Amino acid sequence: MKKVILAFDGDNYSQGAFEFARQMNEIEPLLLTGIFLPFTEYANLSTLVSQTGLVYTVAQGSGKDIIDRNILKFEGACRKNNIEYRIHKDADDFALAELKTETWFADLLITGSESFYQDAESKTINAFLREILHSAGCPVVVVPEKFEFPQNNILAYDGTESSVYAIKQFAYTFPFLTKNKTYLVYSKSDLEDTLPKQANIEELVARHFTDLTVTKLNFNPKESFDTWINFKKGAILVSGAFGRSLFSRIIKKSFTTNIISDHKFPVFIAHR
Amino acid sequence: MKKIIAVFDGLKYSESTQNFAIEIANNSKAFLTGIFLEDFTYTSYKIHDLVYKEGVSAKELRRYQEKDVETRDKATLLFDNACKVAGISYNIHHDRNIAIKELTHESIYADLLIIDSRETLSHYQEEMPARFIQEILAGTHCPALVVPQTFLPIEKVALLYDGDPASVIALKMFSYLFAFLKHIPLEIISGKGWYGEMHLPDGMLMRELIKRHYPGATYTMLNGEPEKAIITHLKRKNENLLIVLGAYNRNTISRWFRKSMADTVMKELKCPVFIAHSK
Repeated sequence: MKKVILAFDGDNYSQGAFEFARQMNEIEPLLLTGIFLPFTEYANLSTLVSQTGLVYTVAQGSGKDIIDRNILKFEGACRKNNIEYRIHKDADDFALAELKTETWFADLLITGSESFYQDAESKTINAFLREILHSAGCPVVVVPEKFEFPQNNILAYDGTESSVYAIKQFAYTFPFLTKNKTYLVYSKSDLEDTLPKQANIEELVARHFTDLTVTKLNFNPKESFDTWINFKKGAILVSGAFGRSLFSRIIKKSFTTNIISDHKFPVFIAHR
Repeated sequence: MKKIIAVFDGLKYSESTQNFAIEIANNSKAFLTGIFLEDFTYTSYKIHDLVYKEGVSAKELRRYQEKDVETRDKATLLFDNACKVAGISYNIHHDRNIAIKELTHESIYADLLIIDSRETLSHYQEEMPARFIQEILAGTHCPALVVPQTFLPIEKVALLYDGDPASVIALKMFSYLFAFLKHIPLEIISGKGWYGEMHLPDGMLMRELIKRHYPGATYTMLNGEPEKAIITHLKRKNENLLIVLGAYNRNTISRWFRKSMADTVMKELKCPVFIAHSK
């Protein structure tokens, strides 16, 4: 891991996201790029969302001051913790497209999870985070405000190419986490005892993760997964679930979205 | 990098694929799987011959088939021995179904695929790169290393950068997978004709990233038609190069307007080419 982007939206300063980056820097020094997305983005978003019936009021005027304050806060925190940093804020119109370009030239994007849906009334994740997750050119870690730095890895495997891709990317991006206790979890309510392509996936994953347990959760996938994951303290969830075909599941609160919304674990998401 | 798949045609065993695969597996302490393609539609004899020589007796046909089995066994044995001598962990898969489909599937569960650039899986001489290689590169789910006929240890890496995100993503993948080459000299080569200006597209972001992965990287900007200029520039090099390229563009538009740079490089230069896809 060499270059990491930390994305903040508008007035929300995610302490959790910064803390995650800080702890990564302790393990291996990195270059941290702070990206501050202004309110104009919210304005775009409001038109986008209002088509579905939600109305946004956008505080244009006060936004800039808050962003400037957040930048100062970020700078101070980086200096205090000896993190090499850059700040990218392209004036008032740091569009989502710019963030997308930045992600091509980075190894990882970290962002806070809480700020992203506090504006929406429903518990589903907001369109903005969804857009970031969908278009990023590097893997993304979504971090809740309160979390423990990962001591366990939970690899969500659903038999698709997309989930295998995410697992591989996780191993490349976080080589220092591959020695931790790792669970390869397959959650589907079928009656088969084996995982899809069990031999193949085990052959691959066992070489990347030295301490591996393969678990198949039966019953209702969502409920059993939620119960099961509650017992795993200090975990990071690895998921490829934001791939195109699975995209619609987000609306239906796929388990990844639920984990993010329930403020529990950092979630690692990668897709091609 | 932990799992490499090396692709072999058992009827025409590529020693170069073997040597590159073992060298890389050894250095990155990876597990090597030798995949022997035994596509049932592919044999050393031609169906044409069987039919036109006034038919072939069942006995004769069996003799042909046994000869193929023997040749393939010999190839497997060569791989087996080479891995044992090198002291790496390995296994062997025999894929007996349609080759492309099997390979694409195996590549989901691998970190890198290695294949000889001359592999055709047919009897016919084809212009390089063969259709078979093109299809593999277009379909693979993991990055691929296409190796030349002779093995030479890698001394320098060249990234062809045309401002397309695909080439940046390829370089990131190369850096993750070939961690043992992190101190190797890297040259980033760009052509003016690609975007009309004399500076790198997204230059600042690019340098910021490259500096972290390869602090000593150098940048070269070439004039003239990029395809030609790059090939000429690379041919002048004395070191054994490895070339990193972005996505193998096979969508309709790029096929019509511009021949893939990857094709040209594979045809003109005798060095390994690392290709990674993005979206």
